[in-house]
Amino acid sequence: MDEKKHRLLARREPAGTDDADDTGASARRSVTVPRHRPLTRLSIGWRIGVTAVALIILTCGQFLNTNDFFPLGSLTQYATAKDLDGTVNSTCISARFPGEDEPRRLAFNTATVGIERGDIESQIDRVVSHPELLQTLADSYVRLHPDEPKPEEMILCRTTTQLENGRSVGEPTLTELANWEVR
Amino acid sequence: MNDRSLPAPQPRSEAQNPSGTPTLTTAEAGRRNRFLRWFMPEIPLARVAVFRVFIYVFIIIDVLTISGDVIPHGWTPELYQPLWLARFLHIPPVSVLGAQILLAVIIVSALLAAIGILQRLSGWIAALSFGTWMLYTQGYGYVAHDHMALVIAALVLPTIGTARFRDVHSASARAGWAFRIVQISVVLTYFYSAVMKWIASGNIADWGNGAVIIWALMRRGAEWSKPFLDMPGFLIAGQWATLAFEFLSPIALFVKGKWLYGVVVFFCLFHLLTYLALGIHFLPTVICWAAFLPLEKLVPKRFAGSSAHV
Repeated sequence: MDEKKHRLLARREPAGTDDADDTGASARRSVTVPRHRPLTRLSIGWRIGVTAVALIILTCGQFLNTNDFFPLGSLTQYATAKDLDGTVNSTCISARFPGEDEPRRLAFNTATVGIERGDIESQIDRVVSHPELLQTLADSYVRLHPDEPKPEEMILCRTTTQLENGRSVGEPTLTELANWEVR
Repeated sequence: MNDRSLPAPQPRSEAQNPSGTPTLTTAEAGRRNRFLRWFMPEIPLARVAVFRVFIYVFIIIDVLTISGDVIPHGWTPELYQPLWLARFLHIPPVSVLGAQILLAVIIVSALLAAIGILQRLSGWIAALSFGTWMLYTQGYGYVAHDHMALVIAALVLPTIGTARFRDVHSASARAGWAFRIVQISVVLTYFYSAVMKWIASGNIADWGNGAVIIWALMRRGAEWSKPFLDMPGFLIAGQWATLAFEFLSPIALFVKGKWLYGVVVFFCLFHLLTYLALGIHFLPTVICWAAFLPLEKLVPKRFAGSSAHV
């Protein structure tokens, strides 16, 4: 008897049906669907609590401007305004190899030196202050390119392009930020 | 598990509308308050089964390609900049061997979770191992925000419990909550990114009228996109358009039907454009847009049983 009553109730179109499915299906004719076990108050409570805490951390991450709370840190990529009359900097890595007078520009990625350009740019002050950290890039290069000669010197550099009203003017300038004699 | 308190499963013909999509109704839904009906909607478990395949297969692709820098990071321990969670848990810099073991654990657990074997256990192992992998890929200076929704999806999926492809007619509020959390994470990836632009720039007009896209194109732009550097006005208009749809992204949580499909397609096309122009694909977020879609429609009818087993 109860089961029959339940079925009859479920075949009605209850208030709030539209909230059951966001994909538009609910706006059409409604039919019964068997349910999973209902959520207990505890189940609902912890889900609301966890969501609220996560939202608070994520929001604080934005206003404190910190990525430290990953995956709930600040969403800072491309967030800083750039001046139309400013400069565009790009960090680069070069290596001088035996028998070569001029340093050779290397691709700044994990496949070449074991780390991405963005990682080094995010700790650029530390690397400039401690150029010995470039040794680890040289070691990675050697491990990743066992058939290539070992670099003698690693050079952290920066290209700077001047903008004028949003357009680049002149040739980019190259600045050496740090160098390291490879051991 | 078969919940005997539930009404008997409906024949397939009764449980679907003419378009083939099941519509969820429960007597209890009317008693739940409006917020809970939105926050924990009852969605078909078959949608979970399909979404799990999307997420866990993508996690495998991710650790092998997009975030495949963890093994090379094993060679640069001096550059480790542990994030708060890694410091709190005293997670040391990764070694090459440690990264390889972690990779194997992620691949095996994600495969099991995608297939639906030992669903909770494999899901939790995949979530924890992938979370650790993320702390290592993001813990060397640069923190990308395209993985927020994916990491959260990996964490909430195991809370749903068992879900099978044949559960087209079985609805679950647990699944609804997990999907809503993924949807909120996706939307906040854009919305808070716009908020952050405001915070970091001090004045949102400075960002909109600035040279961010110019800066990005100069640093990493594709050759075909370089001519746009001679059209700063066009790029500035693009920045204002970006701000507009990032601020408006929460509408994805409230629109339905064709409007929702339109929003999903729009954001996917936006990411396709940024990929072609800048090489920024945002795929970890793009895959999570699937949480907005009626994925159960992808289940072939011969697999879509009328079972209420969960």
